[in-house]
This record gives sequence, structure tokens and C-alpha cells, in this order.
Amino acid sequence: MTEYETVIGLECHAQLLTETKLFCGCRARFGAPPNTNICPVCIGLPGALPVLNGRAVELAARMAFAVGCRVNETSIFARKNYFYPDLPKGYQISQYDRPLAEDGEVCIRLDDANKRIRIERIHMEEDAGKLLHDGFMGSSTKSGVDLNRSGVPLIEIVSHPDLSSPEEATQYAQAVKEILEYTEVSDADMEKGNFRCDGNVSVRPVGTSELGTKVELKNINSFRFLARALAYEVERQIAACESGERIVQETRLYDPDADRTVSMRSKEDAHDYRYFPEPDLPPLVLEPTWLEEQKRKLPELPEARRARLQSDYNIPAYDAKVLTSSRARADYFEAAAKRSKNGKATSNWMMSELLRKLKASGVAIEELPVTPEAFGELIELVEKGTLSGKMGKDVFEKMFSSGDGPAAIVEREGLGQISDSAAIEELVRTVIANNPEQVAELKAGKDKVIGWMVGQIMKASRGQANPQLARETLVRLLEES
Amino acid sequence: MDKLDDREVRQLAELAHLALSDDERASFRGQLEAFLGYAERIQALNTVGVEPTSHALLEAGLEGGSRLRDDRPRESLDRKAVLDQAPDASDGLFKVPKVLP
Ligand SMILES: [Zn+2]
Repeated sequence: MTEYETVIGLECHAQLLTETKLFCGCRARFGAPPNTNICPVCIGLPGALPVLNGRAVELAARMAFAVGCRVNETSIFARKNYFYPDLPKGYQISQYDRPLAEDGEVCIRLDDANKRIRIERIHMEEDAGKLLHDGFMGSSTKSGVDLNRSGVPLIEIVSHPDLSSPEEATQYAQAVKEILEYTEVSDADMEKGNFRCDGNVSVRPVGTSELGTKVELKNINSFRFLARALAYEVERQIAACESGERIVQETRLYDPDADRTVSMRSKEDAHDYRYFPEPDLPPLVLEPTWLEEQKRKLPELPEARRARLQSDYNIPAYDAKVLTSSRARADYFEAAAKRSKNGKATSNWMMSELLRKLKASGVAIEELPVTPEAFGELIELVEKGTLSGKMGKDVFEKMFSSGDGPAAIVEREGLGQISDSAAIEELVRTVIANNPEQVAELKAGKDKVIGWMVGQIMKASRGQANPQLARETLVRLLEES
Repeated sequence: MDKLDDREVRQLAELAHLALSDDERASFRGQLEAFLGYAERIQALNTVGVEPTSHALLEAGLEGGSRLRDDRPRESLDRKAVLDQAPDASDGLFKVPKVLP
């Protein structure tokens, strides 16, 4: 039986975090009532002229530098011509033969090694509008068009076909999303359509170097669907090869409900976009000094931050990976660790209590009522022995529900571990007096009873005695008696 | 000089969503060939060392890089005023013949 290998390249589209659209001053934000952020430029009225958004260029260049691309000093906008009801001008302004940036790479982690996925290019383009198919009267014969999204700035990140499995492709897309979020180039929110992937998939017999006919997969808006769509398509192509069928170069859509890909009408000419240079925009020329400055301003990237957290706070690789899975999470950790002055303990508390609580409550870390400083203070109280670990967890629950700081809660609830030796001694004396049998057993050498006795002391103190001090006091008093 | 055949004219018309009759295709084919012939003549010119003049802004020079727009929102158009111009609109949406999702 022939063995096949999979060849995948991804095109990821990300919406840039600008206030306004790419070529006009309309707001670019998600969620406005339909057709309220529109103007002559973005709905394609005759005579309207596009003017490029400087912030969009800055963000696009930042992403390019973050993945090690070369940013071209001159790039050119081009018209991509096609007809669709969500495209008011009849063309999309994009970049074609001279894109903003070229030749970068993104590193993905496989089980036993790292793999570099080469980035072919990053270019800027405008988004199209949005079609609505239901939710209004007459939707069986008509579609609705909302042009709020029309002209919103995107970058398209095109990888080389370096991905050899659906899993690698998903890992890569996640890595790209993570970099976009970390650098604050895009919120990369898939649910809002701010991060979408198209895949180019082909298979070939192992050992051959010629690429098989590639099929383009569109309409993928979650990582789960990305993996499933690619896996389905790989299987379909292998089955076709096995039965001697010819694979047609076409675009297929993933249907998540049926978990399969379906062919879009494969008109051979439909892909002829007749690109030509956009006459309404001059070439984009970027100063070398400006480019250098953008490169210098690049924030710390996830991989680097992971390594730094591991060494600066002395935490395991696994913890560092979990804590840096989003920038907000990593920021929270560092702020809390700064306050608690104990990175390892802060990491433990975050990995267990905090993440569990976030997961259970569905609250995002950005909306957490417990500030990182308050969280760090709590950890400090536990580390100092003012609170036992158990009490610390209770206080954390109360901080979460009330938003109050740990000191206020300890004060209000009369909590605080009893570390006062006189108070502890009194408790221990009472427990000794009340349990003569066990004391006798202890004296006879039954050391195991000591744990039970400490338990009684804790119980008598309603959990507030410092257990270490209680045990020491018990041993001392028994020896003295 | 056959720069374009009828099949190509037909294909171009399709891409441009133009319904052309046989006569129109023949006539446009001639005109398009004339355009291409003109472009060919221009392409034959030696332009080594000649600065591009395709954009007025380029002629003015791009010292200091392109002039770009500040990312500051401006007032958008009134929705009603826009939708009133459309052949079909309701529910705050432009309406078009049903497109398959
Ligand atoms: Zn606009």
C-alpha cells in the first residue's frame, strides 16, 4: 500500500486593532447596528478616494517584525476584482506582487522537537461586508448586506506549505494567534470573525517531491473545525488517490454539521482576479528609521517570555507555558509575584486556585474582581504563616465574591492564624487535660497518636492555630510533664 | 495581429458580468487589440533611469515616507440617507437577491 504525506499551507487573516477602517475614518469596531459605520469610501460611492490609516501600517509592520519578516520599504496596493454582494466596489484593495513584508518564520512545538514554519508573506487588505441570510422578513428570497465590516483593516499571513499534518496546522494557527494577541496587533477573536484561516491541502506519495494538486479550504472559524476540516480533506484526497481518481484544483467549504468538506462550484475562471495596481493609492513608502523604531518597540514575545518566567521566578516549564498562554495571564502572574515576593508560591496558587476558579465561574482574567496585587498579598499572608493554606483558600473565595482585599476580610471575619505562643499553650493544655487516655498512650511510645492530638488542638482553635507551633508546644509540654 | 481570440473576449466579458452579442464581441475585440497594440508600443520604450510618474504624489517626492492618515474616527453617513438611495433596503440592511450561504 502506498503511504502518503500531507502538505498544508495556511493563510491566516487577522483584523488589526485600529479605531478606524483601513482607508476611511469610519469606526472599525465590532457590534455596531448594521450600516451605521459607513461612508462614501467604504461603500464604494463614485469619486471617493481612499487614504491609508497610519496605525494599520504600524500594526501590520509590528506583526511582520514579530515573526522575523523583512518589511519592504516600498509596497504596492492592488485591486483584486470580483463580484459579490458584500463587496460594494467590485474589487477588494489588497497587495499582490509587492506585499508589505516577506520571509519570516513561526516556531511550533512538537512532542519531541521544535519545527520552524516559514512565512512567505504578510500583506495588508480591506475586509468585505457581511451577508445576512436570515433573521428578517423575506429572507427566503433575499439576503441582507451590512457594510460595517467593509474596509476594516486585515493582514493576511501566508505560510509556506511546511505543515505536515492537521495537528501541526492547528498548532501553527494557535501560535500565530498568540503572537497577534501578545503584540496587540489583533484581538484575534475567532468568534467575532477577527481571526480566520484558509488552508491549502494536498497529499503525495511518501518520497516524491512534486506537490500534489492543492485544494483550498475556506470557511474555517475555530481551531477545532480547522483540525477536523483538514483531517477530513486529507482522508478524502488519499481515498481519491487510492481509487485512481484525479484530484481537482478547487475551493471547498467545511460544513461543521456534516463534518465534511463540500466543493464550491469549481469554475476554472472564477479565480482570475485580474489584479492591477490600485490607481487611487500611491505606493506605500516606509522610512528605514521608522522601520527600525517599530522593530525596537516590539514587545516581548510568548516564547521569550516563557523562558524568562521560568528562570526569573524559578518555576517549571509546564507552569511557564500555562501562565503565558495569554498576555493578560502572564501580566497577572508577574504583578502578583511582584507583590508576594515569591514566584513559585504565586505560580502554585495561580495554577491551582485561580485557574480553577476562572474555569468554574467562566470569568475572564481581565474581569477578575481580585487584583493581582490583592492576590499577591494573600499569598504573602499564607507564606508568612498569618493564614493557613486552608484559610487562604477561604479568603480567596471571599475576595472573589466581594472584591475586597485579603487584609479587610481577615479583619472582618476575625481570621488569622493563632501564632501567639501563650494562646497556643493554653489550647494545648486544655486538650491534654481532656484526653488522659491518649496522653498515656503517647507516653507509652505510641507516636501515631500525636497527629490525632494536633487535630484536636486545631479543632479546639476552629482551625486557626498554627499547626507547626501546636505540634511543637504539645511535644514540649508532654516532655515537661 | 491576433492578440486576442474570441474565447478570451468572451471570458473577459463574463468576468466583468457583461452580456455581449456576437457582433459586440467582434467589435470590442478589435478595440481591445488596439489598446494592447498601444501598450506594446509603450513597453518597447527604453525607460531605464526614468522615474515612474504613475502617481502625482510620487512626482512630489516621498521624502520621509508616505503621508498617512491618523487613526481618528470621523462621522459616518446617516444610515437612512444611504439606504434610501438603495434599490432595495429594509431592517437597516441593503437587500439583494438571495445569496446561498
Ligand atoms: Zn467609511
